[in-house]
Amino acid sequence: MSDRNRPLTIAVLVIGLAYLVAPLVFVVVNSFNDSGYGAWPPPGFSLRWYERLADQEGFLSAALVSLVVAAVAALGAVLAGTAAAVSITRFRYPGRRLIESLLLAPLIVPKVAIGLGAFILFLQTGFYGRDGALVALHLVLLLPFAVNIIGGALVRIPPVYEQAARDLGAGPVRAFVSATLPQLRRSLLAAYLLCFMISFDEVDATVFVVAPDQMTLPVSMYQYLQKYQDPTLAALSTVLIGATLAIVAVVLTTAGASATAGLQGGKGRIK
Amino acid sequence: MTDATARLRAGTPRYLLVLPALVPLAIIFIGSLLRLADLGLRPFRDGQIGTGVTTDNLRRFVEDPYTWRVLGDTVLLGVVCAIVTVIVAYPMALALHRLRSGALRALALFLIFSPLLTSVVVRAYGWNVLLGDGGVINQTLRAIGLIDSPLRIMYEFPAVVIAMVHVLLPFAIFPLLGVVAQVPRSALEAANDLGASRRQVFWRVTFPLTRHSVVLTWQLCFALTISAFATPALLGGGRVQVLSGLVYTNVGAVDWPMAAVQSYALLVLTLLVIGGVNVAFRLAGRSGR
Repeated sequence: MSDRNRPLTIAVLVIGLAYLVAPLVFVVVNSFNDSGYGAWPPPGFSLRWYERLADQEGFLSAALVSLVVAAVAALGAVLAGTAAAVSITRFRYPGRRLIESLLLAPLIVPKVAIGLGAFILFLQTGFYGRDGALVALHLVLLLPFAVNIIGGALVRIPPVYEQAARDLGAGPVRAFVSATLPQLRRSLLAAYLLCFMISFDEVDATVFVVAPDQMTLPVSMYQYLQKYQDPTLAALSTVLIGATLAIVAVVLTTAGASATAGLQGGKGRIK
Repeated sequence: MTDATARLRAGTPRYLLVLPALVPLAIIFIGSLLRLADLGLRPFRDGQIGTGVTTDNLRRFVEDPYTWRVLGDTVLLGVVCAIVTVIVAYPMALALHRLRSGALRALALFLIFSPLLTSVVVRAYGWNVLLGDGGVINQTLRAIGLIDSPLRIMYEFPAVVIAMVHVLLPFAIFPLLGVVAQVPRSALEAANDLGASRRQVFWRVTFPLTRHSVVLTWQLCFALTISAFATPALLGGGRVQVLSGLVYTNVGAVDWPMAAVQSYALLVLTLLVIGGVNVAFRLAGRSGR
């Protein structure tokens, strides 16, 4: 019955996907545009924006800060998120619903509110500008995603295997590690990669909390774009797109399915 | 509760497992919101934040007509972006579900995921290239003779909507895809066998079964839109002002108490709209039977 609909299906997808991909394509094309203000059609092509990019030392140190923050915050979110997901999916206890709502709350609280509040909090406690400040903020922003994906996967893994391990004499930790964890592997990887990407791209809250010497990449790009509109940013983006394509390949081949399933698993919980 | 779950709970430190997530959340998330509330109640005079408790900032917020206009624009942007996103995402999810070729599906999924791999800042730059007065769209339209003077899209409401919907789409398509896939084949076949047209099958079977998720997706998109800051700032260019932008401006101008009140206004707005939609949905569901 879907055959009659085939042309419409294809048309909807092609138009929608073109819309999704268009800005990225033109960013890549424009990074080779010789014109300083991105004139269209390009008067000529050159690599000068890549040369200019190489001179901008700020972006490199910002990229390093972003990489470290994203790697550590995502790891923390996945570890803490897994423990929390096990607690709220495998056990029933009073207050469990409340804890679940609290874990997901950062999703709907405006990021500017979290960012500004965290800035004041860090300032008053002397935490502002410390290495851990950005990691702590991102950890809180990432937790809902980690809990959603891992919790969604745990619901689909029957506890019988873990119970069998317990019956055979394994302790609770050993039973979890040997019976449940292997089935959770893909979801953990998916959760880690998604958390990493979200942290690596976070502007809305981070912009309030960054100290001048710990600029992250998206915040420094934001500030650059407010001052200049030249294609240096396009060159930087093209480099980033190239670098992340490798990560995408990993996501789609090994963990794409469970990432999708995890996002779907959380659909009923955002309230 | 299954038997196995019942036995697992015996003697396990259930609360302890949630602590690694709960402690940072309590300290930073709740701590931040409390600090913010405290700041909103501090007096602000002559560019200085004083001590004590006052409702001055609340009054300043309520009495400023500009704030109300920005508040209105913020809600309008959130409502429009969320509606457009759901209207675009639903057919895409349906189309994706109907794709039978595994390779095409994988390719489509990859393309839907691809915007998530670049910064929202970079995407704003991309839209600038496309929508600007001398940008790709205007130059193309001029070349084929459809327009004489450039269409003003950039730094106006439509530009913000176009870019914002683009940011929201992946977050809307994925949950909807899962829901559309869960509509039982048997229900669709039964409707077909009973002689329903394609349109009837959609409006009487598929849509009612997925309606709840459509509302949830709309709510998520609304919350994400009114909380967004970078995209409206970069594509609105100061001409389209949203509340999160005012917060940022006030932080720069050291009027932190006002920024705190505005942040809370944003939070209250989110809760009101999401709660209101929930109530409306429940009432509509009851009267519809």
